[in-house]
Amino acid sequence: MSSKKITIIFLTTILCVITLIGLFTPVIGQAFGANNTQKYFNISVVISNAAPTITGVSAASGTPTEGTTTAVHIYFNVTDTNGYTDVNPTQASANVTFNGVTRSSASCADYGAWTGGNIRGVDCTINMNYYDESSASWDISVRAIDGAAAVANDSNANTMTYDTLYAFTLEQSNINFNSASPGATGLNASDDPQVLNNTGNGAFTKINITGHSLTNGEDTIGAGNFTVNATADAAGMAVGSNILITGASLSVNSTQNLYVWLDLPSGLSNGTYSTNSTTNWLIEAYN
Amino acid sequence: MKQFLILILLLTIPLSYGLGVAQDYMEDNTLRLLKGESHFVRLTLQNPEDVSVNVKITLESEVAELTDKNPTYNLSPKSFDNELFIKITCPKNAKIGDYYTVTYAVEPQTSSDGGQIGMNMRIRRSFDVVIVNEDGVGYNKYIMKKAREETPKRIRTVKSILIGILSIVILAGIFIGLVKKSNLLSEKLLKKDKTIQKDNKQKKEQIKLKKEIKPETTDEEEKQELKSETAIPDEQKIKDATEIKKELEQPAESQDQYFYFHNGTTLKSIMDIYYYLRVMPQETFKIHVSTDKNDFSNWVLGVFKKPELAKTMKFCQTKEEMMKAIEHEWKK
Repeated sequence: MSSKKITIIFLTTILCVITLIGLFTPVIGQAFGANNTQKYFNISVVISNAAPTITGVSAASGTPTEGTTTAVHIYFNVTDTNGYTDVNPTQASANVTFNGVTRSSASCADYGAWTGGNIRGVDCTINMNYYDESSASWDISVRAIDGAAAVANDSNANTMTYDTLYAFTLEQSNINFNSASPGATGLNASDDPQVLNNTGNGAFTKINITGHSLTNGEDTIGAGNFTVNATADAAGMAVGSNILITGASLSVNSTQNLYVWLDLPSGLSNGTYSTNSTTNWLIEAYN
Repeated sequence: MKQFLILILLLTIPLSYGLGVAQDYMEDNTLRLLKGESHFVRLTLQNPEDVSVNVKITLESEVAELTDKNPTYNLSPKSFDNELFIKITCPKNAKIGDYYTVTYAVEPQTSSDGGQIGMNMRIRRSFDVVIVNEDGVGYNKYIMKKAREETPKRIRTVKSILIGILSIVILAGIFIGLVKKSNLLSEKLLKKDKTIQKDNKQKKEQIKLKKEIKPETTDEEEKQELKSETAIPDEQKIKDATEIKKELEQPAESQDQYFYFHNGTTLKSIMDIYYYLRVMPQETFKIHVSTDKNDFSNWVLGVFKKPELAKTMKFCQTKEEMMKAIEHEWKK
């Protein structure tokens, strides 16, 4: 190897060493405590998730719907510093509780009118039963969750009102008696019992019946020939005007059976007996 | 043959056989309003059936009226939000605690095809409008009124009878008590009378004796003396303690009837004994009172002629007992 080549290799090596030293000077300087004018920091920032908060819980009063459920809406705001998108409204929930009975939300959705910025408006739907108690004191509690699974709860004395519904149905459209001979007594209606069903959340403590005569155009069967009772064991009381049926009532979520009997007068002509259009029988429920 | 004739009876309930009426929630089924205040109560008619129905509303109340003058409503099939309003207006001259009952009835108007028998249904409801002030005062008054009105007449009658019996028993008790007290008083007075009569008898005998010694005593004088002695004035019977005390303070008739102690103290009346007993040295008391003798008792009997008191005092062995015995004399 010529000295010229050796010199070139030597100089190249020197150049590489200088370059490497130049590249690693700060690290080396730091390692040896050198007082350099340039400093390098390894910065690490941990941003923790802020839990959402709930405000503005409210509910419109609910009116029961006869024989079925009623959707009541609970509205509330969820504030999250990460922005409203961090709160998924479908993961929120709401409950209402009264007298040990709790009804939970079937679904929750975004309530657009209130949503924006850091606030997510939520609208939860609770299906109340027709027989749920009427009160202004259904306690509301709501819950929301954000993207980091932080939970917000609110059960701060917000209440919902559930109105009162007085309703009932007569479950059969006909009361029939089988064919019978004049003078026959103790005939039961063929489709007894006549069922009254309370389809609201208000109780009826009394039931009256008002009956009218039946006629075939020739003869008459007086209302007093019919009797009605709340139980099947006896004929009960004669039908008349505004007769209170002893023992009959319609408490919430219940039914009441009525039994009708007939004593036919003798000497009646045959035919179909009925009332006329202005003399319908009347069943009145009240309390 | 008629009894074999066949009757076919058919009662048909018309098309609408379900009905509901929802009402704004009212606490305790009452509406609390101020005098002169107006309020709207919302009713929601519900028709759960598949056919439309006409419904008639009737309202009974002096303070309520339907905002809709036509009281008949046509409800569409399966409709649950048919709203109507009752306007309540409280009279300005109502009093706090007054109440007005509002009753409404909801009834479908069924149409009959003729030849059939209709069965109708009706829902009747009531609530009370209670007059309260801004602080809600008046509601308790209403509750009490209502309870009084709702108490069945039979229970009220039984209550009245019981109260009557109780009153009679109490009055009878008071009467019996008064009679007993009066009897006791009479017995006391009679006892006293007897004592006085006894004393008078003794005096009469003394007078008789005197008469024998002094024949000059006239019958008139005797009569007067006797009159003064035997008469038992009513006032004497009802002498109060003060008078008796005064009597006990009467001194003995003469100085030689006074009670003299060796220390120089002199007692002139029964009350003097009482007063002196308070400060009387024990030794002195013991000189005059022992198991064998009782000088005070003897003095009372001999000088003042009070045998009962003397007898009581005779058994007193301490100053306190003797003071009590004398005290009892004017307090009895």
